[in-house]
Amino acid sequence: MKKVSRFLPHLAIAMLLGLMVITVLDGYNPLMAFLTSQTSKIYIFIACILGIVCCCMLIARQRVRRKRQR
Amino acid sequence: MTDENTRSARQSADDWEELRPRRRRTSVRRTPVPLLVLQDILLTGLVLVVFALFHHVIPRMTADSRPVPTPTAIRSTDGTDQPTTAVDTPAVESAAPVATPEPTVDPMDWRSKFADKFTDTIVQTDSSYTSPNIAITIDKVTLTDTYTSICYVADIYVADLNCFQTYWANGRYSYYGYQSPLGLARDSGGLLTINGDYADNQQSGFLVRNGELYYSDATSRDICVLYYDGTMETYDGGRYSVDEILAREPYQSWKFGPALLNDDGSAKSSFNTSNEISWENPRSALGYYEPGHYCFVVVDGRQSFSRGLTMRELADFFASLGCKAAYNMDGGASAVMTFDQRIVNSPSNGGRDSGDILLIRETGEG
Repeated sequence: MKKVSRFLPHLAIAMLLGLMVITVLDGYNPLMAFLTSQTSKIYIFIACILGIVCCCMLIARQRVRRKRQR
Repeated sequence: MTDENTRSARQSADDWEELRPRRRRTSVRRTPVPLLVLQDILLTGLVLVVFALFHHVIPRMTADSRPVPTPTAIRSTDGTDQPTTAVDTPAVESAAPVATPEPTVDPMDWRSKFADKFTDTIVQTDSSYTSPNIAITIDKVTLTDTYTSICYVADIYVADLNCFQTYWANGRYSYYGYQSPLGLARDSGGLLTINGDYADNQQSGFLVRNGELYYSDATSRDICVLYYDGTMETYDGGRYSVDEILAREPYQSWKFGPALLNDDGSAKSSFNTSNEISWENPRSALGYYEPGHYCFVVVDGRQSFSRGLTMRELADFFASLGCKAAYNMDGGASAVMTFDQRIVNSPSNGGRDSGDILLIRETGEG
């Protein structure tokens, strides 16, 4: 579990960097449907889920740290 | 004194105990930042490879086995109107267009109207072709504003709309079907061809080819429609009614875009496409003067002798030609014009395979 929680932020960074690349490519060739294909929609959905999970993990850690400080 | 010494010794020991595990932990777990960045970049590359596999590679590999829509004839072959229905979902496997419908517009109208353009016999040179049905003249135009751009303008008169056709790679509509420009020209029998609009990689939009309806969805992209009466109109994305277009009996439609001219024939100042596509590039485009009179334009680009045109420059060029409507096709390395089975322009990177072409050919009549 610890390994997964350590890996998730990196995966989120990679997927979001990838999304930036795909967005740039879509500008050059919109007919390739880099942002509108079914695969892209799934990709964006997974990236969103990952982002939310990472944020939740960060918030949880911050809460625990604050509790300890008190 | 002794108590104080003992207390301070205990305190320092506690401090040491508190510090020791932290030092150990950090020294073992901390990874150098450059290595972390490198790891993330490599992971990004891996993610993109997986994305490309599912987005592009697998769909291409399985393209032949995927169902394609059954085209519906806009007009029946005897020329009577036929009700058209939307083809939203692909239904039958590998259905190819059955037959080229015969446009019912009286060809004699255009033949007499453009009588001075046609000849009784076929007269052909390196850059022109005239016959009882077709008159083509290809001009090389060098635009030298700040940069040099070489354009090839094929001025086209047809006596019969059936001389103006489109052709799918390998003779049938399929996802990601590709063929070389000369192969397409040879197989289609096209005398004059330019690349099409890359329509075979999208399973939506509004698509009519040679009088057969493949898809009837309105999208946000500009479309271009050539009707059976020979008129050609461009429509801004999201501002057209598919039903109204179908009621007017479309013969061909394209969905790459954008539209280049306003309704009054002046150049548009903004275009319904991305900035990257609007920058200077090799171009391929279709222009319309009046029913029976069209032009194909191909612009060389990304080369030392020809920079290519921005979308605005291309629109200005069509306005200067006097076209009433003009529409941009797939550009870049795809921009290829062939005439009499030879490539006319100098395509960027030697050109590339296309999924469809626009062509002018003899109909065997007249």
